[in-house]
Amino acid sequence: MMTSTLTAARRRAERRADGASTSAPTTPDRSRRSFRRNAPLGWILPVAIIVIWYILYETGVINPTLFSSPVQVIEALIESMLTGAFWENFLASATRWIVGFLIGASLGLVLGSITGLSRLSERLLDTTFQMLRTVPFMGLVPLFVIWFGLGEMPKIILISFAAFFPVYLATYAGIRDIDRKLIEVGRVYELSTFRTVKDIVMPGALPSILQGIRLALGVAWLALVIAELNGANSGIGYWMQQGREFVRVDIVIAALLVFAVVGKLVDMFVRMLEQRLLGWRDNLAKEM
Amino acid sequence: MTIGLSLYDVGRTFGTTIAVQDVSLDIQPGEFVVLIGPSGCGKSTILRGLAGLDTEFDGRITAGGQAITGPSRERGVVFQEHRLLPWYNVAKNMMFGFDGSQAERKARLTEMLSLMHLEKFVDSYPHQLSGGMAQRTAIARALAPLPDVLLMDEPFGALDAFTRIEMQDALIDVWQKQRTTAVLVTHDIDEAIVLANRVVVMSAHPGTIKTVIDIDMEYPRNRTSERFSELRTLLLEQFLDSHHS
Ligand SMILES: Nc1ncnc2c1ncn2[C@@H]1O[C@H](COP(=O)(O)OP(=O)(O)OP(=O)(O)O)[C@@H](O)[C@H]1O
Ligand SMILES: [Mg+2]
Repeated sequence: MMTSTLTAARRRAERRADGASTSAPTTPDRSRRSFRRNAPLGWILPVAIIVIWYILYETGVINPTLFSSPVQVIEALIESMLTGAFWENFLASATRWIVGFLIGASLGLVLGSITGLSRLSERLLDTTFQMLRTVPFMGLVPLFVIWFGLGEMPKIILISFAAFFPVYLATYAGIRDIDRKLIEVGRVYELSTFRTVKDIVMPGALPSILQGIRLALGVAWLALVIAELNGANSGIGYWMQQGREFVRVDIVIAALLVFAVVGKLVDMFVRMLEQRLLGWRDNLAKEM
Repeated sequence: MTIGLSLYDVGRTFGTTIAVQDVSLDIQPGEFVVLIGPSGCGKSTILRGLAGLDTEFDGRITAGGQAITGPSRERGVVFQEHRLLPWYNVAKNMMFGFDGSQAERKARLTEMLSLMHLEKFVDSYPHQLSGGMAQRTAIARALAPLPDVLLMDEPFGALDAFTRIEMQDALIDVWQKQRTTAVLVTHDIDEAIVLANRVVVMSAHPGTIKTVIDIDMEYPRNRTSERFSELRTLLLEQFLDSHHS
């Protein structure tokens, strides 16, 4: 870790010495290094697990009533995709998740900005949010079911609740951590409050905010599963519930797989967004 | 329009440390004053007071006869660190405080880029610049809006000797053309003699003015002349003295 950080820093220093205008020629050494950096090393383990799983199933080491083979799981998935049942459930889940996330994240962004920017609102609101934050959102499910029944409302609220806190906390912290020296630059040029926020506060807080959003997407995904396992008649969670009732292990595993893959894809999307929006940052992560 | 600056019995304490004490100084409109002195003698503190970034002073600080109550666009500042906005490229950073039409902006940017020799780096981000290039961008940012007063805290500290001399000459040029009032902090005695109408030598603990020395030479100043070395010796004596007193 330490050495790779150092070499990355040195590489950056070298590039700086080159000057930003001259692009270095692609030497064999460089392309080898870029291969090493781009090789999909992260997929070795998942693939290995699936292979081992398959072998164990075929050799009869695992109990076939408790665990299906990867082939069965894929078959179950394809079958439900072909009948359209999968897409119906997927759409229901995705809608809940996106709507819930958007509501929670927007509220988090707005309220986090308000408490971050104004001491008065911080004193008024932050204690409340910090207290609410410690409430485990799973514990809210029974309460929401009593209050709002089994419709969409309690699910959306639960997901929004879960998505709110990571964004709220990240926005608040991001704004509070802005370098005061840069705020002074704004003062020297007599910037309006609006321009100070737009040119200095928000760009400065953006790395933290994006991190909060990534976290919120994950937590909202989790909340979605919990909401759908507790009284739903559509969604991937509901599909999984059905698999359990009919003792279809393949469907349960297929649903879990869907959750994992979508979670990973969303994470990749946010990372891409980060790289685009935060290109100005001198971050090491980009180079490793 | 040029503006004069004045300090009357100015003092500043941080908790129990007296950073600056009994500082009185009149800076004429269009004058170039250099502050020199050991580390911690309150040079940056005084500059922040003139900028209006710090208003917790005893005594009175005025610009154009008016008490300073806060920062003003009339007074451009170059900080001791470059303080560029990392999310904006060189062009946006340079023009950060500039108000004007798109065409004026473009013309001024071209002018500043060539003055600072940064044409090639117009699209670079601060983390891609060397320390000296970043500092030159910061100087251009302060110069771009044509302020009446320029306050500079060791603006050339991060530059190599050659670029430093080049920047000093460029600064004199800009200063004479725009007739701005300039206050510059430095540790470099030669730099003080090249730039200043008057050099203010300070001493530390508490920060006070030790002496003020007039530099009676025509601009541009010949760094190899006899008078230059005489002044260098004179200033060096005062400077060393201020370290020990
Ligand atoms: N914000 C602050 N809080 C507490 N003490 C401070 C603060 N700013 C400055 N000081 C103190 O005031 C004194 C003068 O500091 P100042 O930064 O003005 O020195 P300086 O002459 O600019 O030094 P240098 O040449 O190293 O930049 C120092 O003793 C410093 O510790
Ligand atoms: Mg200083």
